[in-house]
Amino acid sequence: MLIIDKYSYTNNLKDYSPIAKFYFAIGLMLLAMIIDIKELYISVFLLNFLIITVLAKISVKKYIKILSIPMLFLILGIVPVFISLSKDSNNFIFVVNIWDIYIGITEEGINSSQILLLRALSSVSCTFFLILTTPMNDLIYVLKKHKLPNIVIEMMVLIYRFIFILLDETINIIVAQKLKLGYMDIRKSYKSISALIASLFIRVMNRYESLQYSLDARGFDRQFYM
Amino acid sequence: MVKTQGLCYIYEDGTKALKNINLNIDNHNIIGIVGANGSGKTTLFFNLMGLLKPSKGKVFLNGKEMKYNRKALKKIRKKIGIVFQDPDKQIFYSKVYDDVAFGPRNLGIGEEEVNKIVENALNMVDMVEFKDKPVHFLSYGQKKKVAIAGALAMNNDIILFDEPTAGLDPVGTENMINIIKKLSEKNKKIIISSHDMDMIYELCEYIYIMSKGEVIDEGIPTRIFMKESILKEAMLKEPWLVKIHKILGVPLCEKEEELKAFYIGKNNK
Repeated sequence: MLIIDKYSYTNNLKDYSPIAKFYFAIGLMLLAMIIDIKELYISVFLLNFLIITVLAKISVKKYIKILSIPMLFLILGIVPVFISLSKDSNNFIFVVNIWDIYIGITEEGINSSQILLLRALSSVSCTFFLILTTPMNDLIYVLKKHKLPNIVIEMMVLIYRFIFILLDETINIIVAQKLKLGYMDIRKSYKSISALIASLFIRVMNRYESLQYSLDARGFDRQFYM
Repeated sequence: MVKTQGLCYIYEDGTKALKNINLNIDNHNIIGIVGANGSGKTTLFFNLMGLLKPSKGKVFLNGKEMKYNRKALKKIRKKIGIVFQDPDKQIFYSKVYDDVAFGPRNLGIGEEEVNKIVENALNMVDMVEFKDKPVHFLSYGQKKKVAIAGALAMNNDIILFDEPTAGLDPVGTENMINIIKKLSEKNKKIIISSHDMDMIYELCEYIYIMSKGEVIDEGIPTRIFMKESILKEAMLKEPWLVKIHKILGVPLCEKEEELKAFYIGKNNK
């Protein structure tokens, strides 16, 4: 079971109007994207933090754990902004000279990486607020209300359903492999993973076939009605 | 209602899955098709549904030969429904309500009417309170019930159950039996494929025994399950009521209640 999905169905705000939650999250996110004030980013992040942990009652520890995934990407992404390259040594606060290129940190680099980090964090917190407090099925309802093209909604519904089937199958295979000591060392792990992918593919094809039958049996006429 | 005449089905790889099947379900309400794994039960169901086209022979629906164009198939879907063995292979939507509504919406029924149909169908299987639950939060037994509700929502006259009790716990099995009984009381024809001998024995009025793609015998339960050689050939076992009849010499009862009544009567004497 995906942890975010679990929270979206069990948190304290799950029954709160999905449309209100949607506009709240999107509104804050737009605000953070348009306006260039660090304090605003910080307050958006803190506001979402409080709502998620106090109102929605998701534990702080779990929330930080969930946040740590995008944080990793954020930090990796900020490194190139933080570090500047130049032909001359002006403007640098700290600099190393390699051959005739100066590598170091500038005032501007610090400033723009700060803004980037805070802006991304505040936007991410808006997204997390929405997906942690709103069940997927409610979200689909909101998108339908806003007249998103049917094909997109169909895909969302089907993908959402089948993620869990695929996940289930994967977990079953991994457990079976672990029981037979398939992940004892690196070599065996590589082998097990290749076997996992191969058998998943076969199972997916099998499922595809039986789903075709089942669609047929239930009078499918090339449209998934919502 | 449904009849087959010399039905044969050969898979692309040359496996003869069905050989000369003659089936007629007109005279009984709950029909059992029993056979070991791989005896052709599911293939037979797919042929009855028009999901597979027989290689030879014919399927008749309400006296008319089955056709396989889109329009004819749509008609068949309104007549016959199927509950697959694995509910995960049948459920498409992540919300219980939407999945049950899938069939009626495909038939072009208006939303208000769909709502009533879904409510009714979920009521029949005792799942109304799960209406808005995501499917992946349900247990296997609950998913199975949703799959049945999905078939019920099509309002078919005939419902095929492929291994309805496989993988269910004792209470789940009992619930399933009650649902099937309830459906039969509502004048639905039921065809069950299974190797749960006890369930088949108590539930079905008429039984076809399949082995290696052939129907090797047919008849009423009390007669057919007495034939040891046939059961052996089909790789099946006797139901417990037949076993105790043979071992203990008690009268052959059709249902557990009969046996109880027999003992109560005996003690009172």
